[in-house]
Amino acid sequence: MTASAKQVRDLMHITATSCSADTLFLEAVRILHRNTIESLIVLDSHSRAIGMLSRLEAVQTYARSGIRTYNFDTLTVAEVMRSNIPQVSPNIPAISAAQIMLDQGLREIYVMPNKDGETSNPQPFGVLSINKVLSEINGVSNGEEG
Amino acid sequence: MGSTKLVRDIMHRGVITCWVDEPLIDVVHRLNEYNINALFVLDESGRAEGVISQTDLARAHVEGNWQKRTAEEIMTTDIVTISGDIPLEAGIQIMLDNRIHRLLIVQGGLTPNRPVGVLSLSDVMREMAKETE
Repeated sequence: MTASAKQVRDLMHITATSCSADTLFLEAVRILHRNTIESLIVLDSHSRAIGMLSRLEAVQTYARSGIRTYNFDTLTVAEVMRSNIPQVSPNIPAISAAQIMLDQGLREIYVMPNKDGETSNPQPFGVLSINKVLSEINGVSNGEEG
Repeated sequence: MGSTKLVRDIMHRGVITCWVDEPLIDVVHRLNEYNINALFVLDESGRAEGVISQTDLARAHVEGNWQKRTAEEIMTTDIVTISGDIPLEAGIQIMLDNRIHRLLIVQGGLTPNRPVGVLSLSDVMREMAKETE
């Protein structure tokens, strides 16, 4: 199968790192850094995906701490996460997912089950990064940092 | 974040670069060789003229015929450069205001805009994590 013929499910990383909504913000920062990942998926008490926290948003929150009175001892992820999760279906061409990421200025996108009317806010199957698509195109292994 | 820290305290030194007329295939190999997400593009005088990220390369691929193109054809030219001597908090704010993931740290002298380091979102995250441990 050529790189351009591959689907999202062929290239996605099958684990999306998550945290609960009541995880402390500072702990989420540590998770993002320790795992060198772009973002965390935020789950509610029923393990449904309700938001995400990216590295950019984490840094924004930290930068805003100078003008807002955040109490980092108690600030939770739920208070600073974004609720719209960028997502694609696993069954579309990876190159189409790359185009969606480019259009939306994203470096990675979550791979979610197709909406079947029964399961709202399910957990993602995984995550697809622009680097992974690119490395597949180039036929080389690629990193995520930098 | 420690308010007394300067950008140069947490930036990473040394900048991976390519030349403006370098083929994209070589750019791709360099990104992979150094395991990085972006590199800066220099003109013949060593002045930073642009930046190429993995996202730029993905866009070039989607547009087609990328193997025959050079760095200057796809680089982002509006790079943001700062001095390493400004407060870290100011550097972070510049990054956020411009919605970018990295700033090029330059020094003046005989070769203005000569790159000496990079402050990336990863550097900031590393510092945040260190401070919260």
